[in-house]
Amino acid sequence: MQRKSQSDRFETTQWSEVLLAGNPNQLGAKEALDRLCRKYWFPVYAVLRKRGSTHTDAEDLTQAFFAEVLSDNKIAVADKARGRFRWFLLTACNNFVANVHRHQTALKRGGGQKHISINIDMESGLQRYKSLEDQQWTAEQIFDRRWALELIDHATNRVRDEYEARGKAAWFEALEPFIAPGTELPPHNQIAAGLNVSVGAVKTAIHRLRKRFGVALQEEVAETVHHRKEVKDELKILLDALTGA
Amino acid sequence: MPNQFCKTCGGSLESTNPNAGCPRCLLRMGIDEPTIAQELQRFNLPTPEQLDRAIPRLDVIDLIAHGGMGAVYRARQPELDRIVAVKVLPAELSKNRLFVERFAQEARTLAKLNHPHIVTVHDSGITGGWCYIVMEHVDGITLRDAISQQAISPEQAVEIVPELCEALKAAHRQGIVHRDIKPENVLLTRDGVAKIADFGIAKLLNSAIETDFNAGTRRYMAPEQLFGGTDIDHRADIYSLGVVLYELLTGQVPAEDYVPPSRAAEIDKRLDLVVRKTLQKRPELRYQDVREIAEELEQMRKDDEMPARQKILVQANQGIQWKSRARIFGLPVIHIATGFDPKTRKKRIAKGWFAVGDVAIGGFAIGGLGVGLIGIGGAGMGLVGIGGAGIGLLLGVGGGATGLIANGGGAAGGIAVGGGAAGGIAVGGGAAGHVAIGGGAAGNFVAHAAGVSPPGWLDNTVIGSFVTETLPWLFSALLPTIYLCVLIPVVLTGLLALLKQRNPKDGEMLEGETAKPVPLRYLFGLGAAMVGGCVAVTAAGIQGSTILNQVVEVLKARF
Repeated sequence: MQRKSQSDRFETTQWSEVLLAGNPNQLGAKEALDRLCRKYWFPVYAVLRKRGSTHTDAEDLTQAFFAEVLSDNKIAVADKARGRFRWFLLTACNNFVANVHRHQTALKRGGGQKHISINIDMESGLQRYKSLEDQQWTAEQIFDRRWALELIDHATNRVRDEYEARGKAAWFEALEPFIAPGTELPPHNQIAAGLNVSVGAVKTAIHRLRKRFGVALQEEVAETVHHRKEVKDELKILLDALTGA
Repeated sequence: MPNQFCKTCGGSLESTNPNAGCPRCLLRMGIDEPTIAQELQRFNLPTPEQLDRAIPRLDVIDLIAHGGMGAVYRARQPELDRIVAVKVLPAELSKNRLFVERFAQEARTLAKLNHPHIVTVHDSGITGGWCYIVMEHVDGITLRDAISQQAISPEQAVEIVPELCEALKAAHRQGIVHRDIKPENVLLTRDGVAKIADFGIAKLLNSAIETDFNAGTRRYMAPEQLFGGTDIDHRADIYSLGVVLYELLTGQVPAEDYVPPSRAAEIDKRLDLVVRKTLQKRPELRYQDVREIAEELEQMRKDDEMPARQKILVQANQGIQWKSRARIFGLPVIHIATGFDPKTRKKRIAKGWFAVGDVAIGGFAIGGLGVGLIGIGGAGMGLVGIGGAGIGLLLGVGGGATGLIANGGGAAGGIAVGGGAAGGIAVGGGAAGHVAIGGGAAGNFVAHAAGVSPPGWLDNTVIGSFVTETLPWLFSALLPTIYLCVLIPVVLTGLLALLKQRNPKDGEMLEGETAKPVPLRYLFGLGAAMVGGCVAVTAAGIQGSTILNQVVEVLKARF
């Protein structure tokens, strides 16, 4: 019954396997971490920009940051983060930023080459950071807010891919604005006409889509926490970040 | 300037992609939506972790699917190093002792089902309050998914159905009825192999739930199932299979008054008949065995593979078909049918009071093979048979004629008239009979053409007595006996069968409608027979008066 002692085994995620093992050489650990870094690079980038770096510098620094995260010695630190990847990354990011000057000098001297480049395409960073809204928030707030938006993005993509795989791409296109509408939307019968179905079918489909999106959000968050029980807490924290509380 | 604030929560919309909506409201979706764990709890089902603890021998990996009827998990059997699926039923069911007994019994029955097209059951048990079944893990999708992706063409559908038939055949043979055949219960492996799952689950759940609710999905259920009958047998599965077939072919479930598949989509018309027969509301009108369906589809495939030459023959010889609306005693007044029916690829048979065709059966039948009260044809059979071969109970006329009264080139009968005639009263060039009149005549009462006497050597020899005594007896006694004992029953049976046959409603198939392969070009035979018959009748007519006189003479001498 020895293997049963890890009672939380089934609610853990790939991220947590990294933690539990405490061994950076654990099979799949590096990959899991790599995957998560690729998903959530933008909050780090945003923080660096907030702290005054230019776009080009921020690109390099972000690369350097992640290279360091993926290197062996950082993973031990992760344990202190109590299993939440976001929290872990934020802490690491703060530490990094505190020493940004040092890092920047190291880069200029060409010290960056020996780091592992994780090759994230950050071109979009320039565009997305243009928003002025970030100016009123602190770096930490920016991090969390951006994190929340990334999360929503990933969840949306996940659902879109599912619909496409089932041949219902057109449905998703038409109904996406209905998931959580912020503005006025076209009336149901217009959508129904466009898809050549009944209004009832549209309403049912919207309901299903919303449910699916909710679950997708949970699944995305589950990837970054230790325990499934923490999913809703994490979502609440992110909601607070977005409402500016 | 687009609206900056969410109309639902009032928050700012500035920082987001305008298409995506309000991020706060979106996040709330995640918070409001019950987690999987909550869902499982609601239905009294275990989380993967709980199940793993409950079944020590298995490593439960994750949840594959869940619904009100139970949940399916993926697990690993470490000793055998294989992946299995575990189906778990809601906990409240296992509290019912009767259910638990039935469950164990059902599992034992299901374990007997070992078939490549049935999801195999490995094990079952009860633990931690849940009844579970360990079964084969199928790496693939359900037929439901395939249908919604529109990934199944009609050709593929016709290939899947025989596999399902085989599975059902194996189950029905063991007395097991599935009761819940539907696309959700059919799995397709990556190689496209179909497998049926969830045998017996419907019945099991049905017995546990005491309401009127039937566990099977309504749309696929046979009428006798829907109306809560207790007399449900394997034919209910056949109905459900029909619904699935219809859906595979047309993409939709058949409604009360469904459109035949060939009209709803580009489907071979022959499938209409198969679908109709499986979807009969009354079980006794459906196929009685899944094998029949498989054979039907196999036959269609064979027909399609018919050698080109034969196909051209069938296609070139499509013939004609005309049936009169008017009927007497259910039989059409007139039916003309020749050639092959292009749909069923079978020879047409004309049946009617007045029937004409390659094969004709009826009151007055004319054809390559004519059978009837009056049968005329290359082979004419009946009460009156006229033809190249004319066989009649009463009157046979033809090249080779036989009957009570036979007239023909070679005639044999009670009264036989012909070139070579043999019979009770035989008249002909070579006549042999009780009363024989003819050039070479042998019999008890003999009359010869003027100037011809029988050869002397016939008088006192064995051959002579054979010819003069035995032969006549044969023809005067034996032949009539043959007629009575053979021909009459044969022809009467044929007539009876004819009268008993129901008339086919359009599209309905009847047993025995196929003719055994009959060589073509019987119409040539018909023509020749009619000519021959006419000549024979004429010849007899010419003879007639002379013969009549002679017969009278002989009879006068006799009496």
